[in-house]
Amino acid sequence: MVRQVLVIDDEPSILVITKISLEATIHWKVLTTTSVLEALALADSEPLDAILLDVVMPELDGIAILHKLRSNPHTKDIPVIFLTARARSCERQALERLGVAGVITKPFEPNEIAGQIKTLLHWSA
Amino acid sequence: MAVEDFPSVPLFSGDRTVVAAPLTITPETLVVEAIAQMDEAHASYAIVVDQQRPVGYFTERELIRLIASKQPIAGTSIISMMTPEISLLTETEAADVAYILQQLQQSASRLAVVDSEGTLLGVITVESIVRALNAAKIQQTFADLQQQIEQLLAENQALLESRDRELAARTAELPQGIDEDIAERLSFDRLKDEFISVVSHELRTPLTAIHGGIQLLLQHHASRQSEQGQALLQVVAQSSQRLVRLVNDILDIEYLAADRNTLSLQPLHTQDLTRQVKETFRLIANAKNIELVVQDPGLEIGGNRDRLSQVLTNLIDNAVKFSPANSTIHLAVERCNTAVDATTAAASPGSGAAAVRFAVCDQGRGIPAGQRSKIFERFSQVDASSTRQEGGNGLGLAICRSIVEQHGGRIWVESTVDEGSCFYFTIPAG
Repeated sequence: MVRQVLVIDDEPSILVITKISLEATIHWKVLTTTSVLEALALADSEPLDAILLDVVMPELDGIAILHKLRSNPHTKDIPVIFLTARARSCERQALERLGVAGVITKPFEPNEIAGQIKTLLHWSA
Repeated sequence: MAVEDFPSVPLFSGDRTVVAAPLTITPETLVVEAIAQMDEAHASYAIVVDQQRPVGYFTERELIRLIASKQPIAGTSIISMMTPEISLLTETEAADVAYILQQLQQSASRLAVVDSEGTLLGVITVESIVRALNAAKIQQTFADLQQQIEQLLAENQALLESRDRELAARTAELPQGIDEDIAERLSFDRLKDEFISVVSHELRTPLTAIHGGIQLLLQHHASRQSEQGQALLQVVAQSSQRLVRLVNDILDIEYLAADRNTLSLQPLHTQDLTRQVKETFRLIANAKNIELVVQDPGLEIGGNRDRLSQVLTNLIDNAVKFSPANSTIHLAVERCNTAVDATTAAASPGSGAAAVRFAVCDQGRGIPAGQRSKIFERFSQVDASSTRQEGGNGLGLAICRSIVEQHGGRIWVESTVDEGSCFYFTIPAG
């Protein structure tokens, strides 16, 4: 099954790595953006199976973006996974308590990230 | 002293008002016998009782009168010698001090106290009443004192309780004081934690790109020749550089912060520094066609050449990053008499020690007022994304500040949004 996921991160290098990792290993369609406005617009308009969301961003942080996604009836049900470099266990736990599908820490293994996403979202394919 | 000053006297308690008669004799007692008994009892008087009822008294005075009268007394019984009248007090009357005193004044200073049957209970004499009254007075005084003491104790108790309440209130405040201290320490720990979090984040981000890119290439998910492969290599290369810069800067800032590492300062000529900066500038600024204008009269300072070059290079780098194309950056060096701890940026002639001020001014977008001191803190960036895109990591100005302050100088910025910024730092003159 070809999934379409949106990756939101302020670091262009992360977007490149994540996109290539997912496209090369599992052939998902990956949309990427560093812009919050573009991210919210894409989430509203594109059929998305999941959103990978960075946490530390200068414009609006990942938690605020999550709230914005949840307050929009068109986007509130899109599963969100935090993709974050904030990797300390207390930080992870705090993020998990926000009710997202899961947290993946950077750096990640490019050939494992697809599997991690599938596990978190209970996807068989 | 009025009778009212004396309280009612208990009949038989404490020092008694009513005392036992020292000697009681019957009316038939012979005078000589009465004298002998009085001698023996060391009594100065005897109460004459008839069937337990007082009927008179016989005193030394009577005896003296008797002797003086040369009246024969052998075989004479006392009844003819005694004073036949004795004032009698009932038990009730014997409790009335005023009445007692009145009676004592009228009588011969002895009052016989009898019960309802007329039976002698004892006598009240002047001495006994005085003694009793004195005792009563003492008792009253004592009672007064006791009352005063109790009052004092009660007041003291109230005072102690009030102090206890005050102490309890202040003790209740103490934990808060301690809590504030703990909060301050926790706040400091939070700052440390935050620093570790930020450093961790700043390290992990380029590592993600490097690790991911290399893995993707090694696992043939992208070939080096493909567009994707080239993009990966580019990302890996940039991220590596960024990581190297970051690690160097973190180590640098920690090295500068360690007290044991004091900078070695030597006499320097400012033109040696500015000449070096011009050389470096030629390599970095051409893409945007930015011009660097240097005004340096050549002054002597005491400084560390490498570190001051680092500061100037950092400031010029920042200026280039944030300058629009075809703009000008000014580097000016001038003498100033500003003391290091001046609160105003402008030089105030004639005050404080001689110093040299460096200024790096750009025509960039400027820095909002609220950020002008924060930007000298670690990992603080006015605009993180553009800084990162330009290869910055938010440590450069923190390092500059550390170096300048170790020279005994000060660094600050003046800026107008959308017009430009001037970064100043002072170094003590050599």
